[in-house]
Amino acid sequence: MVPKTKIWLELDGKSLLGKGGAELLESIDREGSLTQAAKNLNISYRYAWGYLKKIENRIGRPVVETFKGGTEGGGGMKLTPMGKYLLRKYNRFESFVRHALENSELWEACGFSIPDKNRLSGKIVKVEMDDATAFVQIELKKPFTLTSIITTNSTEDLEIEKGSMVEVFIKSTEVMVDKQEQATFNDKGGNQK
Amino acid sequence: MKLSARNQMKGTVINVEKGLITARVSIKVEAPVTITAVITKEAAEELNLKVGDRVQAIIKATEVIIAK
Repeated sequence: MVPKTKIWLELDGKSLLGKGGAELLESIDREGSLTQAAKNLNISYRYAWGYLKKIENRIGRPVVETFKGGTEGGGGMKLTPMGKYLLRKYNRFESFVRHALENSELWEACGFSIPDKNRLSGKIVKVEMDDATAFVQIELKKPFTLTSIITTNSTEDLEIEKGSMVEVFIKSTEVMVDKQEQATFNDKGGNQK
Repeated sequence: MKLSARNQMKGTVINVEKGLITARVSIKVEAPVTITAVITKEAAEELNLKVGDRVQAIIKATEVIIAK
């Protein structure tokens, strides 16, 4: 069991801009073209256009405008100040919620442990101690899946996609050690003694 | 490029969920690997960690760095 969140902006009780809409606006802003933006998001031009019209109908103002010419001719599309305003509002709210979600103390305060933790079971093969620190080596015998949260920009810079061979680095001071039985649920209520 | 990080392992990306700002990447790592944890002496003593103990290594996903 994993707790999840979704965020969106509403106007008069009706959905205005969610994750998909924000990604579409962001992509139009970056590409200057609806064709390219729709392609990036793997949606049809028609669907993307319909989506924009829905937002515009709700808010009563255009969020995109087309322009002619440009360096490659043929024109393109850009966000209106209203489009930029909406995208900025969404991103700020998204960032606010994300910061809260990354705060393990807040999760713990309501009885959950932070969901984006990797918990790997293994056996200690070496322990060395000095005055202040302990080096603990843990052997992991079974293959495992690691979750990494990195910026979307990095995934694009590194061209990380399904099937990519990668190397993973973790500072050893960022590895915590727990001796409890592996929790089945993230909900702490599930494994209280 | 050399890095000081003790824990270095090879893996295959099995899923990428891209958000506006952050992406969640799932990486399958072939075992066996040995992971090193540097913790305080107090914590090690409190848990009475010794060779042969079954333990869990816990790593926040935001601390996992990827190189290609």
